[in-house]
Amino acid sequence: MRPDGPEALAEAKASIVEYAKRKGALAVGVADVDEIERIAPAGHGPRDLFAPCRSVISIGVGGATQGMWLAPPKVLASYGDAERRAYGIAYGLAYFIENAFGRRAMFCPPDPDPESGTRVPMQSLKLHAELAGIGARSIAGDILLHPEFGFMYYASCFTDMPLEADGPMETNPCPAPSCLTMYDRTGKTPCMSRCPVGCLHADIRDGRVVETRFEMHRCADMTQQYEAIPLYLKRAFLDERDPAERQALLYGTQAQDIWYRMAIGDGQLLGQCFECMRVCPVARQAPQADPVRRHRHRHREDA
Amino acid sequence: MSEEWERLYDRHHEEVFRLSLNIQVRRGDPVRERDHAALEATAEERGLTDEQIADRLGLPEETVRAIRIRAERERARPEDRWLLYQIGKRRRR
Repeated sequence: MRPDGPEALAEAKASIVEYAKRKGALAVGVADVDEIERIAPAGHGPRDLFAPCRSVISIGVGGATQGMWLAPPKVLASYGDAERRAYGIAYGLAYFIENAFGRRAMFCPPDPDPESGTRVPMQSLKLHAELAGIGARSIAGDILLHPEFGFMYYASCFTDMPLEADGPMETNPCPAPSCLTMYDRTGKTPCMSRCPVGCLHADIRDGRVVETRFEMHRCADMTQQYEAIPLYLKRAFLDERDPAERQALLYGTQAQDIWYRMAIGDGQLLGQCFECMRVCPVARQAPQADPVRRHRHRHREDA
Repeated sequence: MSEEWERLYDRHHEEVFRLSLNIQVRRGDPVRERDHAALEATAEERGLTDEQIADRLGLPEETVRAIRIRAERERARPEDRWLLYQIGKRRRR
């Protein structure tokens, strides 16, 4: 039955949260669509993709396992993520809402805007999650952090059901006290000090983040391999005159890595190096930051 | 490439790149605090879409997009990928 009235909508929201958590989400929240529309740039609000949108449901799933965090970046860049699991849950959630409540819903595409190229997303899943109260912006390139679950991957689902919105978090877990101590001593937080390309900067005064600067292009150059493909082809076919160098551009190990990842597909040409999150005390040491910690948490609760 | 396009690119690429999402400066925590005045005041620093940059510079959106994408390509350092392969070997326990 289509939920109507505050009580029925509250029950529907509880069912949605229960569904998403049963499928593997750690955190679920509802963002105020009008607030998103007010903040997002023109053309990038939920109603640009789904005109009757009344609610944006944001879900977060956990990141790497505790063991995976010990791997070097060349492994983490391929297998440290859990974003596809988040997308799967949000995709299923749209079907659940339509089946259970007879209201329209759609999976929010996490992809770049095809009109603008790969560095401009269709929607900011980060903005959705932040306004839904399941993450707050960190010094590490505004990657969202959660005080209980640390670093998560986010996905969104739109619906025309007018669910009650959750507000943003009251406090931001970043920077952690240990990061402030390090900053006072060295002028850098762990994430700033470990970024291989130095793309993170912050000005912190009296324990408060006054300003952060994220040089996204430097992060993208290192991690988004799909952007390197045309550059290598151009160099090999148009720029390079030395036959040995041309061979290296097409058959060298970096090229082979790209061709391999293209062949196996499934998102293997994008990712991050995870160095900023690997050294983040919130991402790694929040009470339920990884499956081992969640296992301990459950057993403590059982006891 | 026409000379006119080259002149246009030379004149605007630094500013287009600086205004784009490639460089994102955040002052405070305005989204979480729902400080809309601060969000409005710092929009340029947080990074703009091509449409917003076009509005500010008085250029067609397609021109801004072409300038931005060329600027990204010319600054690209795909070799930085190798930095990832040099760190963290057999030391993380």
